Amino acid sequence: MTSLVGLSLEELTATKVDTVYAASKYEQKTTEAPSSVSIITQDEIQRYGHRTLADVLQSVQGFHVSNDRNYAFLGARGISLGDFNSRVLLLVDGHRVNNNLTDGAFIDTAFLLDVDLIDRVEIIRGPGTTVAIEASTNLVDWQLWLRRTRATASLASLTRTPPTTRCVSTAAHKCHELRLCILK
Amino acid sequence: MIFHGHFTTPLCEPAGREAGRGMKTLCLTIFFLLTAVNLIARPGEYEVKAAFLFNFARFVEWPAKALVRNGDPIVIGIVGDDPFGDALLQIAKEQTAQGRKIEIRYYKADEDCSASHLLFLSRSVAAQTEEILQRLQGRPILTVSEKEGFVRQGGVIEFALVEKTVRFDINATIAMQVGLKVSSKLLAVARSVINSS
Repeated sequence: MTSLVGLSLEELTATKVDTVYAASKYEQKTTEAPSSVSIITQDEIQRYGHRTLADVLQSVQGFHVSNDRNYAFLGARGISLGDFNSRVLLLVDGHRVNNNLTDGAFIDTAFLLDVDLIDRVEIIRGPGTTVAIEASTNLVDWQLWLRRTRATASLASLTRTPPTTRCVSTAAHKCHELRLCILK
Repeated sequence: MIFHGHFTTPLCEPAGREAGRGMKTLCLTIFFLLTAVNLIARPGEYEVKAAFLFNFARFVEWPAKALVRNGDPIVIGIVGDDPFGDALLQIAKEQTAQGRKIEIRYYKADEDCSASHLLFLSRSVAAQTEEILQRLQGRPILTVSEKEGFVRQGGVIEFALVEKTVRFDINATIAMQVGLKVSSKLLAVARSVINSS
């Protein structure tokens, strides 16, 4: 702490900081969040060499990923339901990116974006008790935050893709977040 | 040393192995040291912002009417939830700015906070920013916030995160209007300075 005070103004402006969730536009205290939240940062993704969202999720306690060599399927708390991840709400920058056909979330290489573009993944598990009562209300929520510059770069590549991805491109032009949600 | 060990006669081998082992230990030690250096946590965003607040207190001159007596402390007010935790309190305890002690006070959004010199408007009162600024209009208070567009709204300093570094914008016009003298040192490192005069 005292070392920071000793720094010159120039040094202070050059100091890289660990940003907190509160620095984003959407603010919520973790104590007020409806469920437990796991956060995976870009640094971790780089350090562990995760190449797909499935890799990222596999590294999180309570999640497991299976693969039929076509798609990757996400399970939580030891249960995977055998559907196309349609109980997972995937939000990129606050925009839903589950596909229109099966309502499924692509977490493997079919996912819209390169994981290098992800600033952070937030995994919000749904309330555990409701699993027993009503499985469909168990919410898992992920959020990916994109850097502004990188988001702009991805916008260029996204405009060439089919219209199902347009929600991402509209998000990329203004905010610097990418956000994913899972409904389980 | 390792290679020397490998190419010597069998008689010499134990000594060579020994040297190899020593080398291995050394390499491992260096590796762990480097990793440790790599893993040293970056300072938190609000630790750096607290250090900036302290620097603002050092590099802004308040008019004589705001600091009447010699022993008067520079009061840093936090409106709304305090994001700094111990970081700012520790600075206040250990440091002085312009030969004056630093005092931290906490306010709610609707409280009268005009007795402070530097006022940080926390994110939790972002919605009331305009109202608070209006109440303080014309007073020699250095208002600081993280809200986007704060300097254009009539605030003096706005924090911004750029590529994981903390930067700030200054509205020099407002500062001058209310009688604050912002040091050129601050102006020099600011990301942008609004100066309409």
